Amino acid sequence: MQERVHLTDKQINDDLLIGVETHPRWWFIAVGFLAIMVATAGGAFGYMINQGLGVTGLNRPVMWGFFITNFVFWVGISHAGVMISSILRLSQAEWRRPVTRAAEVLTIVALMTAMLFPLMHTGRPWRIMYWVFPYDFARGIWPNIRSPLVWDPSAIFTYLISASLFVFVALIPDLAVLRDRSTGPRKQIYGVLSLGWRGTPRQWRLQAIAGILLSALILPVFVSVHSIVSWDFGMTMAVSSWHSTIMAPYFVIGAVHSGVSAVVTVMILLRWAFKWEKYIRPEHLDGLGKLLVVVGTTWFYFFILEFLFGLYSQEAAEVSLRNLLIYQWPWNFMFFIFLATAFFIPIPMWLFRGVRRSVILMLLTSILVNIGMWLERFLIIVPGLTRKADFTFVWGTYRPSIIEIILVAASFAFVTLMILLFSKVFPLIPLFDQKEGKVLEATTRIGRRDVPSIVREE
Amino acid sequence: MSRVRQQELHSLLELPRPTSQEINDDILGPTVTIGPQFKTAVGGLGIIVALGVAGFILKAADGFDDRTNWGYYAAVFAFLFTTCQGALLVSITMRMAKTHWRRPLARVSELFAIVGFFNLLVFLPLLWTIPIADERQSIWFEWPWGAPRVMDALAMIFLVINGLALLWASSIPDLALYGKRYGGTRGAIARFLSTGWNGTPIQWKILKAGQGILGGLYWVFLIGVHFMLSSDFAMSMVPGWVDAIFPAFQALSGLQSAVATTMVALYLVRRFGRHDQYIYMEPFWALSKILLGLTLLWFYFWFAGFITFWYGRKPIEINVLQLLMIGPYRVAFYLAIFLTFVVPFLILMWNWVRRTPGGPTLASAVILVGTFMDKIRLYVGAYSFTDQELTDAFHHESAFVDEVLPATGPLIPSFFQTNWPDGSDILVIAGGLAMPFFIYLLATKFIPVISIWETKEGYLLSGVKTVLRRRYLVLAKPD
Amino acid sequence: MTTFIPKRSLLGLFSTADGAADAVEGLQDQDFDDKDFEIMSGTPYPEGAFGEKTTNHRLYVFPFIGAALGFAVAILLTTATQVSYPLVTGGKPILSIPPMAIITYEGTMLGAIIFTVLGIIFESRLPRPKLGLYDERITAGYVGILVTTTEDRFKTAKEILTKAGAEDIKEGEPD
Repeated sequence: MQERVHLTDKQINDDLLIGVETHPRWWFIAVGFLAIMVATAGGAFGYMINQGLGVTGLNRPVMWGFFITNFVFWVGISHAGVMISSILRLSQAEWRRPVTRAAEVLTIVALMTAMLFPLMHTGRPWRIMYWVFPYDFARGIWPNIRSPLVWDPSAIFTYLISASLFVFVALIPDLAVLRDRSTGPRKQIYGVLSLGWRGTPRQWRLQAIAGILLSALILPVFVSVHSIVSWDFGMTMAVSSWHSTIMAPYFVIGAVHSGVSAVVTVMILLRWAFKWEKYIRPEHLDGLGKLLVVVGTTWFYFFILEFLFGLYSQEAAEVSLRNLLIYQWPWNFMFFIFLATAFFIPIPMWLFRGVRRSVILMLLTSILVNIGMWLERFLIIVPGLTRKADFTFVWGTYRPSIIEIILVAASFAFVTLMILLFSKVFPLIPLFDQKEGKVLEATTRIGRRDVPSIVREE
Repeated sequence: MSRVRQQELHSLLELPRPTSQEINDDILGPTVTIGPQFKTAVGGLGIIVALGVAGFILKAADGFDDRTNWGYYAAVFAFLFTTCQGALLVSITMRMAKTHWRRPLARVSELFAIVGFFNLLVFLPLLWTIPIADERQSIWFEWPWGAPRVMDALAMIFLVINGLALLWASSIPDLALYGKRYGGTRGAIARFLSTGWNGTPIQWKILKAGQGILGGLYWVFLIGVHFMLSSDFAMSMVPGWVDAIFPAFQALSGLQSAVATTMVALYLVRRFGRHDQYIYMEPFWALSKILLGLTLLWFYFWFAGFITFWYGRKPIEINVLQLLMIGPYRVAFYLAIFLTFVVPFLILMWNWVRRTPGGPTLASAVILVGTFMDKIRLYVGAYSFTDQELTDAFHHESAFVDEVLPATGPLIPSFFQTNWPDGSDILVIAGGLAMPFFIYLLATKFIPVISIWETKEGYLLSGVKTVLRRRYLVLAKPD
Repeated sequence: MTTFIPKRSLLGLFSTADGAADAVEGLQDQDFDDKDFEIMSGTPYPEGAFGEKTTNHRLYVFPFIGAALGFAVAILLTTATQVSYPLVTGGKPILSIPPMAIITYEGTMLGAIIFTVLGIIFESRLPRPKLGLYDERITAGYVGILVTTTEDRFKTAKEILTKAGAEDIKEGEPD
């Protein structure tokens, strides 16, 4: 059931620009606190640069740890935006309206954060200059041009550029509102950014087509990005448990699972922070909850395939990895927590309408999913490496150092900080989408009941 | 109301709004009358189906020990399963998503449940062509009780019962109407099946909840059966082939061909069933967009599997690529890639093509041919190993698993030789492909091929509203 | 080229969309061409809601051009890098298609998306350096009708806007 809230255009402008036009004290406190956390991480990173990668817990044979886990996690979160805006736009789901922009912004911010981690992981990031320009040629070292690791930057840059342009195009009409409402230098800046938008029927029509066309074009990119991240693992033969054909769709759907959950978390926090109860309503959480049930179940199906066919192969490394995950402390504990938080607690709960419409329960369950999904990435990468070969010269394991923990924790602070900064400059809910939704509202009288209806454009 | 060809009419906005009585007449009329065209079609198809049965008898006379003899039979079964038994998902999913455009196609897709029942009969003999799970790699590991035969049979039976139950549940109101208006044997059957339905609010509520539950279960069963079939009848029949994405790829291929099947059936019902005023353009338009997405995903799933093997380059991976893609079944494989992905993609990518009824139908027909080719390369290929080779692989003594073998040249191993269809295979293929048409045509005379109650509900929940200066379609969303 | 006739603009502001639709109807009745007036709103009304003629666009050409360019650049890049470092790895050919396919795919999509965005901006007739005759109330819920016409029909236009219930009428030079 849709709840109908009646608002004028003026009121929508006032409400949704609250983040840009008002300056509450909590915002400054939050930004200050987060900035301190990020600065601390900057210090930790500096220390790591100075001392070398030895200050991390990386050790033979586990050479990929928290940084790569966190990279995969944030790329996963970045799948939220496009999933939400594209699929819901293409399927003309009405409840997408307040959700799209925040989701897209989350995409961009998460992707930028993700990109930092492989750079940190290199230990000496400035040397990337040597890799990009023909360092190897000069010293007779030959790179593997066909390595899957080369695909990663191409996919992530494509996705980042596409998502940013997508946000920008949808932002133009709202920038015009900001231009009309602000004064002084701000007016100048918004004026330039809004490109002289006036809202003629032609412009609106193109805006509508843009939403659909760009959605259709970005969806295939979105699928490719996490597939390619998964192929960083899947192409290798050195780590037996990574070499599975299911990796690509398993990563993509897992990314959607964690990404959409992250959108739920962000939406609820925004609802509290900016008092957007009239815009982000239980029906929107309900819609996201239903979507998550489908996504989560599909993800679980792929998880089963991955797990089962690892055992089916009966290769020693695969079987010993499953043995590690199920029977050995602390891996079995993490494995249990991962399954419980990513699937067995939230999905059955979301089957109930009451849960999907409860703000607080949705907040808690969506956070649970992301705890689980972070662990999932960790449990793919690290145990796989500890059991990568039947015989190895070191049976080392991995224990994250304080430096890694600080950097990972700060990545969450960084994402929150960036979203808060964005909210100071641009509206996080598209104004024009709300107004359009209002125009398209209708009611149909059937018998004795007024049924909420929607006007459909071709 | 006047009968107009709705060729150009796109949605409920432009359609004339018939009364309830007119809808009953228009839809039930063609259901009870049997014309000469119908008789010719059923007769002709009946003969082909009978030839197919003869082909089966020829095969059965040779026994079940030589597995290569059953490869094409398995491919035909897998094709029918993928297309016809998947078709129900279209109406299930679109009903769950509460789309309005599903109404004209809901029953068209659900009627395939009856074809599913006959496909179960095709399936049962296949159980004797696969070995039990002992002493070979299998998803059943050490499972007792004659795995995988018993499990696969049970899963398939549950699926078929589930499908029939769903068809029944969604046609009760229409059967009640049918039974009230017509006598004779068919009227009596309809009265019996409608179990005294009279459409009280509580009955509607239970009916809709029942459809939801049966639909959800059908999804679960169908994915489950896809999993079992692709692992028990294909993957585990090739020594050492480990491909975690394969069951999911087959399930996805099932979704793609389900949509294609529904589209072709919808087109045929519209063209020959005299129902063109209830089947307007929007279902084609909406389905074709989904079909385009699924076609892209088909390629994605295939590529995800392929690139992992291509990069891995273990001997077994090279051999599997040789067997199924570049070796004896390369013709079927290239056709599959072209017809399930390249050609439909090139057709469906154009907006104006998707807006016609012919374009998406053509793409769908092409996809169905491609899917059949895909089943041939997979199942005929998988059926070319002996039980001994499977056991050898289990004990790590298989050349197929441990060495890169030649797929061409003078020393081709036996499983790398192309198994072309023989006489009985051709009979089975012809009969198998005619079977769904035959059964479906007969079924349309017992159950209205357009869902009457859903059509009426559609008219009730849609209207026309003028926003400022133009008329638009308004769709009500009651829950 | 026709001879230059000086034109003037006027902007009628309507607090309701109905009034604006009346004004459009009035203008069309008085044989004002669709090029002579523009509707401006802060809300996307469904297409054709004001009774205006629907506009044509060529947006769909842009992604194809972009995709072709992106494809070409990506093929060049992947081929050139592989040929420049001719070292066999893992028994794969020097010029391997599967790894090329992925980068080519990303290049194609990137080209298509960048050109689509350029196309959207271009086809929306943006960027527009000067706003011209405009009112800030338009983004706050008003609908503006901007008529640009010759001096002799200026009065008629103004009457139509007033009669349709324009709350405010601004005059100015066309840009």
